[in-house]
Amino acid sequence: MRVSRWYSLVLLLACEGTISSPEWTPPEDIEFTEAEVDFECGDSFVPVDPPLRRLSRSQLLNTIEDTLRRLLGDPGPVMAELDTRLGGLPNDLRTTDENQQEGQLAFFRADQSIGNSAVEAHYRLAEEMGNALATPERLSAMGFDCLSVGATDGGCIDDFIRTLGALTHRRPVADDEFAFYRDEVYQAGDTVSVEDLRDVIAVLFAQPRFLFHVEGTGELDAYEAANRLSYHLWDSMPDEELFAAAESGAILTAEGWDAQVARVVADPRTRRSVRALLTEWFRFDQINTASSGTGADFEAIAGHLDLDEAFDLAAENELIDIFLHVLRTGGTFEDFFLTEITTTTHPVLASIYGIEPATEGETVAVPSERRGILTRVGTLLARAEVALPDINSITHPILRGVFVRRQITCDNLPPAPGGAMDNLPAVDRTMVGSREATETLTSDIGCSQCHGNINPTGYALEAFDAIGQLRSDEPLFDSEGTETARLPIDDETTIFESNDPVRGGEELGQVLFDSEKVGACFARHYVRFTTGRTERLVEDGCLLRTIDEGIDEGRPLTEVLTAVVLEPSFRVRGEN
Amino acid sequence: MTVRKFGRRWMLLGGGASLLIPALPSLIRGNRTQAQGPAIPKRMVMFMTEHGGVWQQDMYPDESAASTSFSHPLHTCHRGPLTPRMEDGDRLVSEALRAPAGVLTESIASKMNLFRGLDVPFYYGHARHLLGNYGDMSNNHDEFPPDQETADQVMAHSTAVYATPPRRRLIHFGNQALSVELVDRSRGPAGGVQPTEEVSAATVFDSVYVPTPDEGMPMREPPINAIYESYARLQSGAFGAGARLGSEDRRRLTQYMDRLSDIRAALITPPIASCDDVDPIDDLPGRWDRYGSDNYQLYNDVIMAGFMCDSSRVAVIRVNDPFTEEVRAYPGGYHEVAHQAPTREDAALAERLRGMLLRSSQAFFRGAFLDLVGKLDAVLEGEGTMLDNSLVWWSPEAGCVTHNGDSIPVVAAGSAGGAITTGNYLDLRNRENNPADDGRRAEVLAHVGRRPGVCYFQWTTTYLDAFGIPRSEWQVPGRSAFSGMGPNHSWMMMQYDQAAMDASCADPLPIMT
Repeated sequence: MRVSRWYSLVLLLACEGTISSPEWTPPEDIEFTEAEVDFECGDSFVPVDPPLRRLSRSQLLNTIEDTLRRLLGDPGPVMAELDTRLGGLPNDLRTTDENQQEGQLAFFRADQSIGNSAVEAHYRLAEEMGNALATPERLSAMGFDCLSVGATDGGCIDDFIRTLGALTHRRPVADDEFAFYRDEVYQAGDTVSVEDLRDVIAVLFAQPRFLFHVEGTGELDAYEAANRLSYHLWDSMPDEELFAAAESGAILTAEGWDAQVARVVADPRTRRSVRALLTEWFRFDQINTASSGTGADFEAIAGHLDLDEAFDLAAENELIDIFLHVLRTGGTFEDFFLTEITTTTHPVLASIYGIEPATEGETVAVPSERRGILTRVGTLLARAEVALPDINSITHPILRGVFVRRQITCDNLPPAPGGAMDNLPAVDRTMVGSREATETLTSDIGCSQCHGNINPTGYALEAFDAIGQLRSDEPLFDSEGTETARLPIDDETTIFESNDPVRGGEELGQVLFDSEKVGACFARHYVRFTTGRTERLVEDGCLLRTIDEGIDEGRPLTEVLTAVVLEPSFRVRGEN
Repeated sequence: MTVRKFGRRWMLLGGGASLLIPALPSLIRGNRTQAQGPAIPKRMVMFMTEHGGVWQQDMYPDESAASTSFSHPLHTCHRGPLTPRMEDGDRLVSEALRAPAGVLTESIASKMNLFRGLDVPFYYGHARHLLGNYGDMSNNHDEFPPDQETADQVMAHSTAVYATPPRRRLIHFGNQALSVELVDRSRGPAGGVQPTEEVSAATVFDSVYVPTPDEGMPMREPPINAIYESYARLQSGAFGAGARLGSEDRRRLTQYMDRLSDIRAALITPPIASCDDVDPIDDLPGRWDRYGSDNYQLYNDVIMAGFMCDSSRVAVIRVNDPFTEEVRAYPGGYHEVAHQAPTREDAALAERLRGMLLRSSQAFFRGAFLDLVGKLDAVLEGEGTMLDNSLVWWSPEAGCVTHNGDSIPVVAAGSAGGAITTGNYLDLRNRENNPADDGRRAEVLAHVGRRPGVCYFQWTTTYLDAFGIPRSEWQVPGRSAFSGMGPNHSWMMMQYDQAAMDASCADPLPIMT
């Protein structure tokens, strides 16, 4: 007999308790509440900005790469040379703050911690950057042949500092700053000194304007605005055209700003930001990847597929590329959420959908049961905040439900109270299917308040197995991987206190979208992404409403996203 | 300081893994003698392994090994000499604390301590509580705000440990944060706390190892001062645009500058001891690669380099390797093995998983803990060895029932310069209080010997006292113990006198100092 215990972990992520334990009573402060779907835009709106944000890890890596590209053309060799140091940059963590709903995880980019390790990693990286760039070959590649060792060329040194400084400051170096680099950091006068060049390079890559988003309070100046725009939509530094618009001041005019917004959002570099946004929204980092599947039962359902890391990446990329496709083709948020196409070129992923892979840049229609992003592998794979058992043949209705209720509808799902790990009723998974097992394990009265809202959304996805293959029945296995039973799938359920039946992922997606919760929830995610902090319903009410209304009114996704940067508040920084 | 019997002996001390890999490199050269410094520093290393699960009957000797009773405010406790036995060429303190006799030597065994019955009396999910901060518990315990730094950080910033700023206050390894630091030290807890990020072994080594400069080659000043100055000028408004920054912006710059100061101190502070016995690293990535998967032996060597150069004196390592292939290969890895081990429905599975947990702990004990302890004991220092002047200790994240906090094992070696007595087995449980007598849930009681113990943070007080850290450096208003103990969760099946536990929580462990 195979007795399931992994559900105990699953319960940790949701409403949990010592089921059937006579001692356990649900804590009074554990309460599931529906998310807001209407936002108010009142006079009380004031921009609230976190103090001196540092670049996120992805922003820093992108910025280093783009800086090197601008200097050298091909950033690859230096990036490879610095691989150890780049890898040593601390990861951003999902953090919480006082404005956050319980159970909601903040975005990575809200992590503003500055620890010794980060500062040390910055310093070591900058030092090695100095070593890597202050070589005759690289100086020549940067157009500074004049800096050959031993030469005397004060003008060349000046030009080098101004050129590199403009990139690492992401604005022209001010006179007082230039004097500091030229006279105090570079101490060899007009004589070219490799050691001093290394120091100048190291300082330029470690000074605050490189590592932080240095903005004054009040109206942003032209360069600050250009930087905000590029980091928001490219997750990296401005390009030459944005710098030029800042230098001319055009970016501060309404026409100039609109033109740059349109250009930037249409640029392929937007993919970086879309990846960053969707990684946070869909919690790609917490996916139990298909390639990690193990066990005889997993072999039984997926052994015929080549599930490697490329497949894992393709599952994520599908969602990113559909989002970008909708963005580029004038589609709406609904077109994305209830999409009827795929962009995947991955043959295994396409075969799971029962279609031929798309050719690069093209789309392919998917079968009707795959309508909507909730039916795609990248969303069906289970996510968890803590380490999960490696993926096996078991679907995770609770985890799928938690994902939908937290990330897609933004409902308030508090963290689980202690106790679920012990005394769970035994469930014989050689004979009991996923849905019945979930019901049994969460049937205690103390759990229903949360699980009554969580489980049904997971049940509606039961026609998709653990890796997202469509199935009409559920195979059960013993510990040797031998099939012990095959049960019919029941994916009919009810949600949102309605008695109308919902069946399958396609209908679930439609019902969720029609509830207006999905659009409102996306608005929250996008505000978090934009501001780098938890949304505040009052202060951010106007921003939230702008996005939400754009979705509800079916405006093109491009308009929805750019509405944020077109808001005057985007170019104002709050006092602190 | 004298390094004794390196080379082959060192290799043999490296645990089971290194016995199989005779070419395992070490950063430390052998057979060299270093000058004896004027004062012998104390050092601490803490290992925290995955979230518990080793059954009590495997982790601890029988009750008969601790037969001498002594009184504790909570209940009568017991002690006995830590007496290892021999079996098939191995020396055993318990089944989990077992290694070949050449690795767990008689000398090392005599310098160890084993504590049973140190409790955190509630269910906490995952947490960094072992170093004294509940902020990262995956369960919602609002009663424990993450309001303090962890004990290792207290030590790393105490003048009792470092009379002058060291090159590196703290060595922190492991990709899951274990150490919690103050965001703004000048504001204390009011400035907030944050987990310490992981640092690569290469970065740590760069900071603790100082090669002897070539004669006649002047050392060039690193650019750290200029970097610091660039922050200072923006912060002060000397760089024009700085004038538009807000006060909180400036505070953030100050926080960054504080950390730059630490790095600057590290870069300009020469090591107190000579680094001559530590191999220089010319080809760092290549050299790192030669350790293969023996990350923890690499970490240990880097820690040794820090200690031998006296560049650092405090290290913490979050271990998340199960150390055995059978656990790695099990679906879900250590996590699932630990969770499924107490299953009551399938006795054969439970026994199999119990064995896997045991072997995993044995492998960690040999391959990481004893590897470091052996290296420390191989360095002559003062009247004894570097181990005698150090404290190395290990706790899993939880007790024998994973996520539960009763009888979280503490395995220690070294006396911290004679401040802690060694060779003890302390059984701090209340042997008279057997939860099984109440007919409690069977699966929780699957592990023989579960009994309520004493406050875990008595151990924290013990080692902080041993290092001479004044209480004023870590006690917070309204709380004498290092960390709060909170309400006992009845379902843990333990019966505590909460008031007595709270009252004794700040005391050092009896007889230890």
